Amino acid sequence: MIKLQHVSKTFRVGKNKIEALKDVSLEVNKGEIFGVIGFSGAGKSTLIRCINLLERPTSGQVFVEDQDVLKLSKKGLQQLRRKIGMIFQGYNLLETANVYDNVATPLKLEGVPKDEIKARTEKYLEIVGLTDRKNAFPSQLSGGQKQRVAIARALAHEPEVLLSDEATSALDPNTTDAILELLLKVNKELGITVFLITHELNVIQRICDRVAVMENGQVVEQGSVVEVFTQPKEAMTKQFISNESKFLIPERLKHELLESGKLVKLTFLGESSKDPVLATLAKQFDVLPSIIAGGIDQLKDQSVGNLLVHIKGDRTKVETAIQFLHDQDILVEEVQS
Amino acid sequence: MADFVNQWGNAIWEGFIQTTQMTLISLAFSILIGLPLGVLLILTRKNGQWDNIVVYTIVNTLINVIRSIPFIILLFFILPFTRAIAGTTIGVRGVIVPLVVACAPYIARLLESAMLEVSKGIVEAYQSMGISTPKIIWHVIIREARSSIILGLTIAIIGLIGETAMAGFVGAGGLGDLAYQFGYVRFQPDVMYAVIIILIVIVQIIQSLGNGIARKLKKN
Repeated sequence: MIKLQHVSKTFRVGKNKIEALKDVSLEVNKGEIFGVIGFSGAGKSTLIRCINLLERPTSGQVFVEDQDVLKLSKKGLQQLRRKIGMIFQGYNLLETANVYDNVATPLKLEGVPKDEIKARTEKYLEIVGLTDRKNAFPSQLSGGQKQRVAIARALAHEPEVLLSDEATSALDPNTTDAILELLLKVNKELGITVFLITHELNVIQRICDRVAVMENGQVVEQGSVVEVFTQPKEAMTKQFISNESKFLIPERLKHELLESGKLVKLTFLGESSKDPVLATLAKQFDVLPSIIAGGIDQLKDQSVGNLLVHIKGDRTKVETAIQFLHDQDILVEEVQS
Repeated sequence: MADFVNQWGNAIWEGFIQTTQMTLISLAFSILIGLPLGVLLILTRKNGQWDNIVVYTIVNTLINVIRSIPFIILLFFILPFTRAIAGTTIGVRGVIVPLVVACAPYIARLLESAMLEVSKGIVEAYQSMGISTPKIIWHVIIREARSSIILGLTIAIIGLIGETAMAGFVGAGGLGDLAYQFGYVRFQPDVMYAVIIILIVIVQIIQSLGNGIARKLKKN
């Protein structure tokens, strides 16, 4: 659907060169929700804007549905952009137009027939749940409602892809959840591929199928959300995830626990979380497991359980017990002192 | 009072018509020239859609140069130009050219600053929807700036009325000329007072009208 190959972008600020993107390659499949996460300044915004050429890459190639975007004529690019919806952190609505006209105006400017404009505007205002506010002006709407108008505006072009540039970053947690629900619905019911960038892990967790982690203009890690979540490889990824689900234990306690046994971090995925593993350990291997900390992360279609377990007992018995855990479809990570 | 009206009524009415003519005609031409210039400034400025430092610098400097010259001096300075364009340098016809030359760059500046207030984000959103630049200029930038544009034009109109007072020097008449010729040169201060009161009322009405329209167009 979307393919970026070796995309780089360099900005010139006076005499300085800023490399916003360095050799970024990624591919978004049709029908999925793909998220890019990174701290501000990582180059996410430049990346998403390279897809519809609001920003022209300095080098590399961009394909949208096998069309080489950089080779398109002005007209061709305009045609393509109509198939790519985009929503923004700042909503970017016409302040002088009401909700209805905000959705209808771009269609009018594109020359869509009159009755079709009416039909589409009403349809998509219905989908985002703003039919009863269609005569309101943006200044009378809340942030979440404004973003819904922006989503309706993007959908009214009946695009195949929706680009979301930090669409929930300015919203409170409840409103963020509601907008994420809406994006999920757009993806599932209308079959629109979603490419989003965010600095909020929660957004990736809740709705994304796959994720890329960006740092200093590079993609440092990418894969399915479950994979990246449960087995982060890069320091940057770990840093993002650690804010959520890593258990911080006081040094002194950790020291004590390590003297009397081993500490393991267990990550359970889907089915494996239903077997009584710890009870089995105690019964079969004659060790004493005790739970120090635990929690569950809810991902889009899967939950991930995390446990920090202390295993006490005879050294070799503890080793075999850990070996057993490794064979159980559980991710095991030994905590070192 | 009745005597005064009998004696001066016609002259004042004629002056009012002349002032209105000069103001409206030169305003129309000034918008016709000033609006495209303002748009050109917006487009060619740094990071504008047609970012072009050469065009921007030329237009920008030209506007500054013209705006540096006081109107009374401009009026005489461009006499040959006025003759070339209008065929005469006197009367209402002769004063329209200098009024437009003075007012168009002013309007360009006012509209530039009005249009600069429109957020880049909204322009970008419309670009991302595949809308062409001319349509964005008209349906997004000018639309969103319309309230500030009206306020700017209100300022420009009031400025124009002031400048028409100097039109008397080229025999174009108008209220300002009346006040000067009769009130000052021929020692008839009541004519001057009457004109001043009329001008004050006109300016008040125009400003209130401008504010009202601007408020209505803002709609938020």
